[in-house]
Parts: sequence; structure tokens; C-alpha cells
Amino acid sequence: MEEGNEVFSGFLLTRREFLKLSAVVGALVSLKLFGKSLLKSVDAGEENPADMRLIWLEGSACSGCSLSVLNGSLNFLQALQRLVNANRSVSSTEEELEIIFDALNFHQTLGLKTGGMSPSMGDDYLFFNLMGRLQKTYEDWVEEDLSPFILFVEGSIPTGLDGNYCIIGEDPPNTPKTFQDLVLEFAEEAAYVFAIGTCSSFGGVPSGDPNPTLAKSLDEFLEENGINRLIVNIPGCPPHPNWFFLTLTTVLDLHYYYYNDILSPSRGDLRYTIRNTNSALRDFLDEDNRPKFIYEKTVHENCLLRSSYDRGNFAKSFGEEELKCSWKLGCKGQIAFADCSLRKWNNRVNMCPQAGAPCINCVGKSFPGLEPFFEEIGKESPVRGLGTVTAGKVVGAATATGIAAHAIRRKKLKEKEKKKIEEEEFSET
Amino acid sequence: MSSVRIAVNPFSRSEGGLGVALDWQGDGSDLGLTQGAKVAGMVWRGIERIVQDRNPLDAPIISQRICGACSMGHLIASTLALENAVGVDQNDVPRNALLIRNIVTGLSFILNNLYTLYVKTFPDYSGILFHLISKGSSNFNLGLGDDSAVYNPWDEINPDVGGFVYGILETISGKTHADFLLEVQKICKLDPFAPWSSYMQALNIREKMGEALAIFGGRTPHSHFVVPGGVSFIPSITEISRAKSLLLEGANFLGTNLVYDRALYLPSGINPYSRSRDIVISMANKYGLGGISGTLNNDLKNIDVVTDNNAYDLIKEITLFSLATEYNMYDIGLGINRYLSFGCLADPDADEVGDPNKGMLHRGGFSINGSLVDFESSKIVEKIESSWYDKGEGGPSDIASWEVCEPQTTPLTLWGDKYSWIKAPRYDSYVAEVGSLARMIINGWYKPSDAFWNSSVMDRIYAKVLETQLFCLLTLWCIDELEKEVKINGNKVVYKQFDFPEKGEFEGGGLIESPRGSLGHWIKIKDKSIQNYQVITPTNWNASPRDETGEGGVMEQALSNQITASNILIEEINTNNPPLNFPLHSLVHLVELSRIVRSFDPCALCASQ
Repeated sequence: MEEGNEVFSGFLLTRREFLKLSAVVGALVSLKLFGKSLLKSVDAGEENPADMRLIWLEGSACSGCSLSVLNGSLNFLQALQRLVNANRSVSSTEEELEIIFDALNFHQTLGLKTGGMSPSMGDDYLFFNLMGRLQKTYEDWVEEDLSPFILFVEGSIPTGLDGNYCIIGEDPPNTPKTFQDLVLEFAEEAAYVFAIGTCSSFGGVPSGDPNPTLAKSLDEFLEENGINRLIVNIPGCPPHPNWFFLTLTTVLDLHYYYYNDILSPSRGDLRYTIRNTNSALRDFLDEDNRPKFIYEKTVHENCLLRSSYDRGNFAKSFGEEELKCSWKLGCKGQIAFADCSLRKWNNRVNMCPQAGAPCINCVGKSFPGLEPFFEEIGKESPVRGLGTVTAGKVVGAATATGIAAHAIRRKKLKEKEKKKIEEEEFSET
Repeated sequence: MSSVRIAVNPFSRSEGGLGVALDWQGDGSDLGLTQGAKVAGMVWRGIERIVQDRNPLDAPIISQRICGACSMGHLIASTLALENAVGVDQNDVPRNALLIRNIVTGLSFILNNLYTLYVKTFPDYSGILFHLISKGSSNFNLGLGDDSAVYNPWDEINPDVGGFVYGILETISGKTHADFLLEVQKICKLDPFAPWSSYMQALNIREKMGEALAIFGGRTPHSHFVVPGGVSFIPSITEISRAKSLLLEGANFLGTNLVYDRALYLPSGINPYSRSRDIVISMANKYGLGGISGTLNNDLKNIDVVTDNNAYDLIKEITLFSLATEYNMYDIGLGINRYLSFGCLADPDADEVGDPNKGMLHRGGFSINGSLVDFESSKIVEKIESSWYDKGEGGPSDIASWEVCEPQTTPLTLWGDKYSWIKAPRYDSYVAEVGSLARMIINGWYKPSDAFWNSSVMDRIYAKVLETQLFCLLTLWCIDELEKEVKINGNKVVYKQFDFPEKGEFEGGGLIESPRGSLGHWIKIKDKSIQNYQVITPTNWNASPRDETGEGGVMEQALSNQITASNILIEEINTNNPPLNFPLHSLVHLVELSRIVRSFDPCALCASQ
């Protein structure tokens, strides 16, 4: 990164380059629909990026989502760049970082700030309140109508013990301020709200039986408190960094379209734009509010071990020399809705079943579920707390899928192999 | 006023859920004596309860989600606990599996340490914030850009590290911005050219280490490829070579960006553990990584060259650590002189593989006042006097009597007698420090600059840097050994099936080192269902609250000592300037407080589970 007279080549992109990047990473959806008009407005230099800030709140979480997003660090920082004046030219690393940390208004783990002093606490209690800085800005937003913010919530929201299982700061002194209070303050006013990770999308590990802290997903928690608004769920334990990136850019593309396009009814009107974007978003989401273009197919559908599954060639134990389908070892790929098999992880290098580790359906609504992870779906094993009949119902859907898929394949196989599979499978069920 | 509390809650750039409060008596006219510090965990999820009644094989996957950063550490500790419970001898685990477990452990150390150093720790020492302040960035609303405004520090202060002192000094003496940069540097010891330029590169290298880890594990964070009996990944030669080349990239980055000329600049008078010393020398020679003290040699007597003035001058010019000695960073945040390690990186060639004292490449032990004794797991206890629990005391000497954790049901009060979700572990009734520094001291690679072996902020950070380099070399050896097994011996065995009895009662423990320090999982199984599960994480040790004698954990003790050190700074300021009044000089404490807390690399979410 050179400074001075030479051309500075940092990591920030021009708007056009960014659209290309989105295509490469894989979000073809919004580009397909809005691509032409987006490019037109970029070329005409008309686009007003509508200055937004990103707030990332972390509750009853493990920070895995933040760290996974950081694995796509370049994409993360470029996405942040898009929130603020995207076409500004920079000439040094410091300026690049300034743009970034301007956009990332608040992040407990990754942000720079340590705390703002709250003089209102009195002379004998000097409280450095990290959240205080946040709240001052929040009041600005509401009262002074400043730039909108995007809210990411990581981690479930514990509601037991008055929410004191997750304390974020003190207000007034010595009185715990709970995460549930914080979320209620911000979720209503945010322009766009995302629940990142399985914990905030569906409850996740903290809500695993017996749910000692009464942890709730973001959807459920807001509904119970009378806030009905669209939450985009990005489940995954942890979610792939591309899922975060693509979902955010899809929303931003919609936002820019509705704000800039000459045919848009909300052109130039920020609040109307936000409302239109939120309703247009629903077309991109399935009934569980997950982006369809990521969570539509199962891990099983494109798994590279399908040929071994189709032939009934299953791994009987770990560490067998030939890599085989791990259905018998408990792989839940048939009911796990995520594109891991196509996208792969950590720079497309691998994914769980390919390393011999059966899929545990970490994107699932029931994760961590009641079934043991390393037992075959549909096998009649006593499930904790439930009778076998109820357990059967819980896993019944998966079994039906498995058998149905099997039925289709069977038509195409030869007689001999058909018989072999039938004997092996249906004798156990 | 007669007593004051400074509180920072929550603490940013730690893994969430950490709160700190310093109490002290006195008013503005005298600097006062500290009554003490309290460090508290603010979040509880109950993972120990959630794994109960599940199939024991589920424990590694669920307990892994205690923390996303130390995910591999939890996975391995939990798997070791299961193996220990059903009587699996580590000598029987296939050699390849041991090597692969070591490789992913080493990679996760490097990954985590890069993240800790660059993302969490270094911003406290950097001049980037000066740049932002001087440009009048909208986030730093100090009103300095507006000439007409009279700046009142009680209005909108944004005391990010450095910024507050900037604003305060202007109000007092009306100096120019340029003057302040110099003044503040003196006070806050910040270096405008510190590692920001390598911030982006460090993130990139961290991703590469993640890629290498994912080659073995499928993905990172939260891979679950380690299973009782071995691992599930079958290595191939291409994959091993790819992982090795990624690791070498990481080693190169560390050697050129954090220390000078790829050397491990070690203090004099050290005596490294022979097993790791031999490996380090052979690997450094083989891969041209500079070796020890910038020379390629097998004779460690040359380590004394580090105390040579020339070597120190070179370090001073180039690295962050140049400031440390000059600005007393070895004097602040003084901890205690008792260090604990459970050992990590199982030595596949040892007689007792996995034994914390004899069977590890990076051995375990307990160091007290500079002398090392063997580690015994039965000496660990965990107490709840100052924690928000009604039940949950006990220790591995008798896991049967270790109480299942029950949080209190009465309303919580902050900073009272019970003030934290973190429990208080003790070793042989001592408070112990864990982490990179503890491991390096126990393995003989490092000696604190304090004569009494107390740790300081800079000791912890520097030990972490050295340890990251060390782990590059140890991991390289493990990859080389794996390559030998697969290529030359044609051996691809990574798993051995062990019987998991359907009936019966079993107990076991898995003790291992994770990047932040010593990690232990204990499990009690009955009829293939988990009856009791206990976890003690590294930050449990470091951020421990008070026990029944009233002695706090290391962080609390280091913070109490800190107030005295900051007072010396404040005296310096007051000598040359109009005296700072009480609330303002407390802000100086915030800088030091931040540096001290983050030098321990706390992960309070882990600690309270």
C-alpha cells in the first residue's frame, strides 16, 4: 500500500468493482433483477449511498458468528465500505480504516472503542459505558433523524431471571442492564434487522433442552414483546461468511434500487425506501425468513458423496480408508438446508462430511435437537424425554424424505443392486 | 467523597461478557489507595446443564459451542475426557491421529494469537486513533474542529484510547493540536507507526491458517472431526503439502512482522524443555526460519547474544516492543508468580503419551516462585463463594461429589459479595495464572523481567508472540511426521474403535491447553447418558473472583497493583502541568486498565459457560 503520489491500491473497491465482486461470490439474484438499473445509476454518478451504519449486538453467544464472518475479512470490510460514502478516494491505510470504523458503529468484539464516560452517574461512580456511546447515538437517530442503521443480532436472548443471565452494562449504577432491554430499544428503530447465527435465528445451543436461561430466538422474543417486523434469519453454527456478505449486499442492492431508480416510487425518500425494501425482501425469503438462494437445497442434494449413498456404500465406522457416505454414522445432511456442499468452507477447501465428520444440521430449527448426533436418522433409538412414537414423528419427515428419494433412485438401478439395498435398509427400519 | 468506583462494563474487544470495577478511597487531592478490583463475568448460558442426559458422544459437539475462538480446544478436551472415562490409553490412539490432533491444535493457536494480538490488543497501543481524532472524524465528536466552542469535558466526551486526554489537555492549557500529539504520546505511550500497516495482512494470514485447519477438519470454527478413538479425516499427500505451505506462509509473516529477522529473541538465562528445544532447532534449520537469536546453530549458549546492546538496538528501531522497556511496560499490571499449565501437543514418541508432565511436546506443570513442580489434576478445586450460584462446587479429585451447577434464583446485585457468573478455581489452594506466559515459563522458554517472577503486561504480550512462533515450528514437525507416515510408511490409520459400554458408571477428565490457557472438561456417565459435566476454562483461572479467604484471581490482583503504577504517571503529568483533577486523571487509568485486562486475553463467555 503506497502513499503519496503513486496510485494507492488498498482493499476498498469502486462501486462497479463491488457489483462484480458480488457476482463472483455468488449473489446473482439481486443482480439479475436489478443489475441494469444499478449499473446505470453508478455510471451516471447519481447514486447517493444513503449513509448507513452497522450495529452488531452480541447476547448469549459464543462469538463464533463474528469470528466466522471475520474469516471473510476482506468481504466484511468491503461490505462496510458500502454503507458509507462508497466512492470516496483514499490515499492511505489509515483513511481506509477510518471509513471502515466509521461504518461499523458498534461491535463489542471487533470495534475499537473502549467506552464513553457517563457523567450522569455522579461524582463517586465513574462509569465507562461502552453502550452509553451507542445509546447517545440512538437518541440522535430518533430525535434528530440522522442516518439509518442496520442491526445484526448474534446470540439468543435469555429471558429467565429477568434477563439477568446476560447483562450488558449498568443503568443506573449498580443496576444490571439486560440484553433483552437493549434489543427491544434497537430492534424497532433499525432500518433492517438480521438475526445472524442459529442462536438468534432459531434459539440454538443455549435453548437446548432444558433451556436453563429461557433463551429465545430474536423472532420469538420480539413477537412476545409486541414488535412485529421483518427479521432476516441467517442461521448456521457458525454461518458461512459468504452468507452474511451475500444477504447484506442483497438488502443493500434493493435499498439502492428503491432509493435511486427513476421508476421507483420511493426515489429520494429514505423512510419510504426502507419500507419498500423490507416488503420486497419477503420475496427473497422462505417461510422461516431465510434467504432462499442460500437455504433452499439440502446439504445432501449436492454432496460429493452422493454416488456412494446411491450405491448403498455406507461407512460403518470412522477412519475407513475410502471416503464413503456417513449416513449410518449419523449424517443429517438430508434435513440440513444449506449450500455447504456447493460453496464449501474456508476458501472452498472442504466441508464437514468430506472430512469424515457427519453433518449435524447446525442450520436447523431444532439444533442441537434431541437426537444423538452420531446416530442414524430414523433409527429407533430412545430419544431423551420422549417416547419412541413421538420421537418417530420428530424424525419422521426426514425418514420420509430419505425413503422417497431412495424410491426414485431405485427405479434407475439394476435389479441386483436394488435387491441388495432393500435387504440392507428395510430390514432395520 | 470518600470512596469512588470506576467501572467498565461491558469490556470491548474481549470475547463478550466481561465487566471490571476498581474501587478506591480518597478524593481528588490525594491520589488515594485502591481497595481492590473486581472482575466479573456477565453472561451465563448453562452449557454444563444442557449436555446433561444426552448421549456422551454429543458432549464434544455441544461443549465446543462454549466459545467460537477456542472451539478446537474444547473439542479435543471433551474427546479426551470421553476417552479417559472409558479407559482408552493415549498410547493406543493411532499415531496419525495424535499428529493430526496436534496439527489442528497448533494451527488454532496461531490463528487465535494473531486475532488476539492484532484485533484485540494492538489497537490500545496504536496511533490510528490520533489520526482519526486529528482529522475531526464524525465519530470522535470532541468539538476540536470548532474554534469558537469552549470545550467542556463533561459534555460529550468520547474517551477512546488517547482521545480523552487530548480533549482534557486543551481545556486546561489551550495548547495546539501538534503539541498535544507529543504530550499525549508521552502520557499514553502510543506509537504512531505501530502495526496498523500489517493489520490487514494479519487478518489475511489468519484466514490462511483457518484454511489449513479446514483441510483437516472440514471447516473452522466449529469443526467436529475429532472423535473418541482418533479423528475422522483420512490424510492424503496433496492435502498435507497444501497445509504445510500455508503454515510456512504464516511462519514467514510472523518472523518478518512481529520480531526482527525471524528470530526468537529470548531473555537470557533460560533453559528450554529438551523435547521442544530439539524440535525447534531442527525445524528452524530445515526451513530456514532464522532459528534462535537470528543465528542458525544448535548451541543454545548463544542465547546471551540477546542481552548484547546491538541486538536490543535493532529490536528497538523496528518493533512495537521497542517502546516497552523505555516506557515501563514491564512494570504495569504486575501479576503473581504462580503459573499453571496442563500441557498440550501430545508427544507420540513418549512412553506415556499424553501425560501432562512427561508425554507432551509443550509440557505442563506448576511453577511457583520460579521453581517447577509436576502437575497433578487432583489438586484442582472450584469454588462459588463470590459467584452467583447456589450449587456448583467441587473438584476432579472426586467428580462424583462435584455439585451439578445451579444458578441462584434470587435477584442479582452488581459488585456485591457475590458478583460474577464465573466460578473460582484454585490449584492446591493457590491462585494461578494461565496463558501463553505461563506455558512459556513452565517450558523454560521465557523468564519474566521481575526478579520475583511476577508477570507484567509486556511479559504476557511478548510471551504470546514468541509462543506463536514456537508453535509454528512445533506444528511443522507434526506435519513432517505425518507426511513421513503417509508417504514412506504408507500408513493411513487414523481411528481405532473403542467399545462404549451400554451399562455402567464411568468418570473421566480431559485436560489440555487451548490458546488462552489451561482447559479442563470432566464427565460422569451412567448407562450411556451424561450425569454430570464440568468445565474449567482458562479465563476461569485468570478472571476468577474472590474465594473464601478473600483473595482474588490474577486479573483482580494485577488491576489493584495497576492503580499504583498509573499514579506514578499522573504525578509526572502534574509536575509539569496544572494538576489534573480527580475524574480526569481516572481517565488515564482507563488506558492502563484496558491494556492490563487485554494482556490476559480474556474470554468471559467461555469462563462462565
